[in-house]
Amino acid sequence: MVVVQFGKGVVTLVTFEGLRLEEGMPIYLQIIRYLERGIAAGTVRDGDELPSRRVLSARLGVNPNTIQKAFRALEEAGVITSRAGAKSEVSLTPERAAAIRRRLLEEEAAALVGALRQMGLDREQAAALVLQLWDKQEESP
Amino acid sequence: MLNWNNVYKSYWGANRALDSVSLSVGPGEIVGLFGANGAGKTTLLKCALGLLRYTGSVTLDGEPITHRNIARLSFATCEHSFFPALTPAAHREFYKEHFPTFREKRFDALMDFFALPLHRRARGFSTGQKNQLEVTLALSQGADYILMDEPFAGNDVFNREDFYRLLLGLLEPEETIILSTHLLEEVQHFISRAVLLDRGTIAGDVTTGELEERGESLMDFVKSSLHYRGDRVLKTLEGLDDGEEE
Amino acid sequence: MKTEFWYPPGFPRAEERFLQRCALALASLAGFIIFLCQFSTILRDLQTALRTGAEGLTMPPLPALTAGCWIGFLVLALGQGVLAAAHYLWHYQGGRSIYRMRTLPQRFELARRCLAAPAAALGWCVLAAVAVAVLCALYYRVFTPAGLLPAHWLLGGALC
Repeated sequence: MVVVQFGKGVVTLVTFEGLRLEEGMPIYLQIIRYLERGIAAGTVRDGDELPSRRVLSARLGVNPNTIQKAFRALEEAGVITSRAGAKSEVSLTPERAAAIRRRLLEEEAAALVGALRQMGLDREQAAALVLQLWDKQEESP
Repeated sequence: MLNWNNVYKSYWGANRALDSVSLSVGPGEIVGLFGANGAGKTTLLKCALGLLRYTGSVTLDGEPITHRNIARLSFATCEHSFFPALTPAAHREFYKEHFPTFREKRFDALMDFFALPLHRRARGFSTGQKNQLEVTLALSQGADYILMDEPFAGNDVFNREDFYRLLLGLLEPEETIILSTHLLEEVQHFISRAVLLDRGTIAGDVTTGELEERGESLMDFVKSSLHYRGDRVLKTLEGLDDGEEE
Repeated sequence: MKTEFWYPPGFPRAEERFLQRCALALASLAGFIIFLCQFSTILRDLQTALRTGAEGLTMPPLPALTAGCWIGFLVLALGQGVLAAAHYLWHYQGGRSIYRMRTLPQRFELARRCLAAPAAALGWCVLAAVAVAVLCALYYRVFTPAGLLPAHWLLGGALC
């Protein structure tokens, strides 16, 4: 991420460098998810700037309408604010960031739980598997 | 708006290249034009440019297309409409003289991006470089509607991917692109609308937004619109199998 | 106006101009030489006839002696038609720059670049032919002995 120093404080630009587009999920949703994951991880903070629609469109190789769709959805959710002629900014309160983080964690966990159940594990087996893999990753990250 | 109104074109009486096609393209759209060879894609574009005689009309903001407004259309074709005996520098002069809207900075930026030699005659370029010059000229003319007919035949994939990105960064909001191509997967995120031609008629017309809502990929859309028989290959192989021992 | 304005873009115009000038010079030279041969032959025959006692003979009038002089100019003129076609076909070489020419906002550009040089060459052709005609007339008048000059030597009764 590029760190730009303004008059007061330091503002970070969310570059979307790490976003790799996948098949199967609408692109605008992937953009939203990328930003939300950044928020959940704490790497995207209140006041961070988003690139302009045109730049993001060129970076991702994606039609500007798609970028517009993503930005509009984020604006409606109150996650970003846009002003005419200026870059959009992330707009987070600690509560909202925490809520997003909680929601994403639940979604990820729910997906895992669903997969394990589909493969026939019961509650204790699932918990044991998760703990085992957790310990393994702790030893060799 | 660029409008094709009931355009009908037949070659030698029998072959109907376009059968009463009506299509409307507005400013800012990036339209992918798809279809099998002979479906009418090239004919559609050439009729708009007045390069072919046809029945029906093609209008630009309600006006027929004449020398008065033709500068608002530009054309990049795999047949190459540049002057082989001129250098890119000479092309730049030619375009400056003939097109008041010529975008000189964009021309220089694209020449730079493609690393094309400014002072070599175009006929000495590789096929890939020729395509790049062709596309550069069409984009730099200052047209509102940029028609491209298979402009990347012969360019490698890295070239093309970079080019789509560059284009997205360069284009003004009111510039329109109509791109006829076989490269479905590559362009599906780049375009905002897909128009499908089949034997001279429009078999499908959808925005990529709608496709996204439906969770349908461009390839699926094309296959279903053309009633693509996916089992043809297997059927043929089975047929061959029957006649053989192993 | 730069010369390239009058020719198809990138066309080897210096070569074309050179060839046109050569061709015109050749046609002119051929025209005069044909006249000269015809004139000299007839004059010699006349003088031989006179020596053997014939009387009342004159040189044929000028038009008779310039017959066939114009063949070079005619070929050159017809060649301009071929050249115009060549200019047009140039736009099909190495691509289809014909599409570019036909979609220019300047609607007479293609016609100008194909036809200007041949049209000008036709003009020069006519001028050169006239010059050759004048030269032949002068030569005829000066080198025909006084006694052999017919009454209407210039037009040979064409207007009588």
